[in-house]
Amino acid sequence: MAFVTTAGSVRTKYSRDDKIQGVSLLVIVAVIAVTVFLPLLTIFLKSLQNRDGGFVGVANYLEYFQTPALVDSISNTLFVGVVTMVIVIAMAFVYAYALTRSCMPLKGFFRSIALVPLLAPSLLPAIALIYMFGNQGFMKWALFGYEIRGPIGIVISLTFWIFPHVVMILSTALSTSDGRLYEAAKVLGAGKIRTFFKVTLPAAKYGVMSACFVAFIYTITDFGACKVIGGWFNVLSLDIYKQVVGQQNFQLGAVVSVMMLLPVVITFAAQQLVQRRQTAQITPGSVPYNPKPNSRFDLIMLIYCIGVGIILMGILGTAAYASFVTFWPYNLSLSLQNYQFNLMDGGSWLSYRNSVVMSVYTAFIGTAVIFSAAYFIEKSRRFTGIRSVLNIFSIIPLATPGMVLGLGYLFYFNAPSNPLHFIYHTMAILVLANIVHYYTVPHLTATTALKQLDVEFESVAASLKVPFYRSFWHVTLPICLPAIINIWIYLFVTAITTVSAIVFLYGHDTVIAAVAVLNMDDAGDIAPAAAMGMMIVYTAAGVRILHWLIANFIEKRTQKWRLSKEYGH
Amino acid sequence: MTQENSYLQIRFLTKKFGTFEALKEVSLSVNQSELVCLLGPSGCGKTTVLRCIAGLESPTSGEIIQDGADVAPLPPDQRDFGIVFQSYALFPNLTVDGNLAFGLRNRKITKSAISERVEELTRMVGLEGHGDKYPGQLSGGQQQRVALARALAPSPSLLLLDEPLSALDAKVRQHLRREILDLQRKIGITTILVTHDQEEALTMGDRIVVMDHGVIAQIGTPQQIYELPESPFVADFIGEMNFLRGRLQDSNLVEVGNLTFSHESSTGSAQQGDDVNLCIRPEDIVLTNKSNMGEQLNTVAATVRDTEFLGSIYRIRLAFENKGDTEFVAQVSPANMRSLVLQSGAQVQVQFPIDRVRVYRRDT
Repeated sequence: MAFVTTAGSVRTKYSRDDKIQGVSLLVIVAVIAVTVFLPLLTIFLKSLQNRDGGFVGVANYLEYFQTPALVDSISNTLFVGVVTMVIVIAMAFVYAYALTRSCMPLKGFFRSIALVPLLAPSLLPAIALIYMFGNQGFMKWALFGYEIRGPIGIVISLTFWIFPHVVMILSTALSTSDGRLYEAAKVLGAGKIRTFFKVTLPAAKYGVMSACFVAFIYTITDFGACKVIGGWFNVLSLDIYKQVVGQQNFQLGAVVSVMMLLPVVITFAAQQLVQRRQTAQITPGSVPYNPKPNSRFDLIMLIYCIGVGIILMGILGTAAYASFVTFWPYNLSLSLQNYQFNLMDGGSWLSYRNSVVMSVYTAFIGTAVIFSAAYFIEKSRRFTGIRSVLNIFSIIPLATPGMVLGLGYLFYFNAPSNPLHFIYHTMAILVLANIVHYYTVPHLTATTALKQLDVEFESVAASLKVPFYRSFWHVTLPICLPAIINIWIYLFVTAITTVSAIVFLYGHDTVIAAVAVLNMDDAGDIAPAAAMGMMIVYTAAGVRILHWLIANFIEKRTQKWRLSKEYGH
Repeated sequence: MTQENSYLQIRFLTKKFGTFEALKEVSLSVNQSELVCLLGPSGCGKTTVLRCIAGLESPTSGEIIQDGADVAPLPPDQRDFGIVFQSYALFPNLTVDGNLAFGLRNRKITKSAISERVEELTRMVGLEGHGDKYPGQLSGGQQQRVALARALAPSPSLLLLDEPLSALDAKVRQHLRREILDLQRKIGITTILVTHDQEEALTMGDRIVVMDHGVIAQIGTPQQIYELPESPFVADFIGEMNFLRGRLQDSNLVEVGNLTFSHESSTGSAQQGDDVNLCIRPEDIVLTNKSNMGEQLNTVAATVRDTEFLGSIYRIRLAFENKGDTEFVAQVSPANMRSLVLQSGAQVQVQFPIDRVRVYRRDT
């Protein structure tokens, strides 16, 4: 035995895997810097400059606050944000309650109905509402003389458009409850109402708060619906658009962007805090809650869901119907005249083709990039510091409104000094903006899927001297295939329905369908706008159905091992 | 143990997580073909030692000499070992054969050689005919064998087992213990097994390393560890032990209350007059009826408090007759139980055989 009294500290060597993973993580950092931080920083700098790029401090902000028309937008935006939030939460809570806590029939059908608005851009419900309640609307009487263009229209459009997001969050929150608590409440003699307030609500509390934040953020950052139906009612997203596209006042546009970013960031931070406080509701011993049939309650819930379903489908149906009507309201015969996009000012079949191409690129490239990045962040063996920082970075896009991101890209990539200047106005920047804008949700989906894998897979592979990319390809990827397919469809549908970030970035050859809807509506061609909006809905719905078929097929082919007995313990 | 025979030497291994010292200068040597058990309560650092040997954890300082070379700075894929985790970490989307072949591909081995080796491994762990099944279709014990065979597939020189049996139920566990042991003996692979289960360590280990709070409490054969525990921690952690508070009268006499007991064990650092614990295992205490014991050494009168039937043995809770508050436990076989009459309140003579008594200094 050698007589060593103390041993020196160990300097661990990096393996080939470590080196590849380390370089990949550095690349991710660099890409985030270029595609998120620098564009956002440019907005902030721009807001402190004059037209010639000279530094003027807060002068632009002073100008902003001295212009009442602009300052009013802040309160207008917050107002529609709060009103929409209250209405959509109330409606969606009862709906989600019916889906999870009643024994009404056709639950699966109503669940699907609630998700239909996801297939439409937010422009579309606004167009439908104009057909319903506008000057020549067939339901104008229902507004008792109030104008649909303005806050009423914005609130209804966004309630429609945000509804599915909120129903999903709330039904998840309501379905993860412990049946034992309800049995205990019953044994202790608590009534239904008392049980609702003492058991149901506390358990769903964080879900409700989370849904509130989402509804609020989506409303105050929306552009499409506000553009179509906002009328005289100014909101922040419209101001950004008007300043930048209308008046070419980039500095003031930057100031408004910062104004929009503030409430979003505050709300987002609050949501993160709330989520952190949420503890696991479901423990291993939990018993799922099974609602018991109650014919009166179930009937009320069914009637409610039918009512909401009629409203949702009524709005979408109006848009669909209007798109086929030859000349509303004078010639109600049905034709495909409104789908002759090449004859319209501001619309073309090119824009539709571009949309599909952009969405396909976004879905494929985005899925590959986001899943790989999530893998490196989650499964690298070392570099814990940089990995946890990257995990925080990857939720930043969720807190960045599309308008702000788009404007940041305009400033950053349009600068002649930027070596990436050449991608401005191209398909590449549209795809990039979409991937960055919608990065967070797929990242969380991927991370959740990866976390469900045994943490020792990588250790086993290393002990067998198998490089990480081989176990990634043969084990990680096949197991995560269902999650990957879900990421793909999420990116496709969001890309084809989005307009906010793109509105500053498209070029003459890269105009997309959602922008065409906007431009045709602007030019007064509202029926063709509805038709183009419906093209987006048909495509999104078609791809969703295709996705469902392919996912089923792939699951049967590659997930055989899942069908066998439960794995593990 | 001789230097030539030693395959793995750990020298002054220290691992810090922030300010927390998970391992404090742990030194240990493992011989060729030996099976060493790392045993200790959760959080004692036993798994950290294993992960440092595997390279899955980077030690803060120290050396890990494997087959003559210091592997401490090396990443796991540059070391020579196979590992079985508590969760098995079988690839659920690959069949048994796929799992076994996983570490063989990528090594410039021909396809036919791989399938030959896979077949050999399946036979070795008794899973013939299960090659096409997915892990989810196997029982826990079968999954465990697949994990073992997969670890052994590339013929490593060192086998690391991290709580390999703790996810199984008692019957399967006993059976697999035997199987792992037979396999280990047959191929003669140096093995380190981490466990918190003392029975597992006692039945499987050539030697046992008992760990506590990041340091090694004792190294020895199962018999040494059980019969000559070097510290009260080891005495208490392995098996059951009676601790009787007393005072060292002189080097081989301990005073417990107004009774005195002789002993032959080392007293460590305890000096005359120090507070000590007099220790004896329940099964070492000899119980007899009052009448037929004379003035034998270390024999005193006691009263039965209560008895507990555990199937193959009885546990008897007793108290010294003239010092009522000191309780201790003895074990009696059913056969002895029938000859003694031991209902609660009964008077018996208890003998603490002098070679079975151990004395430890008691820190206040």
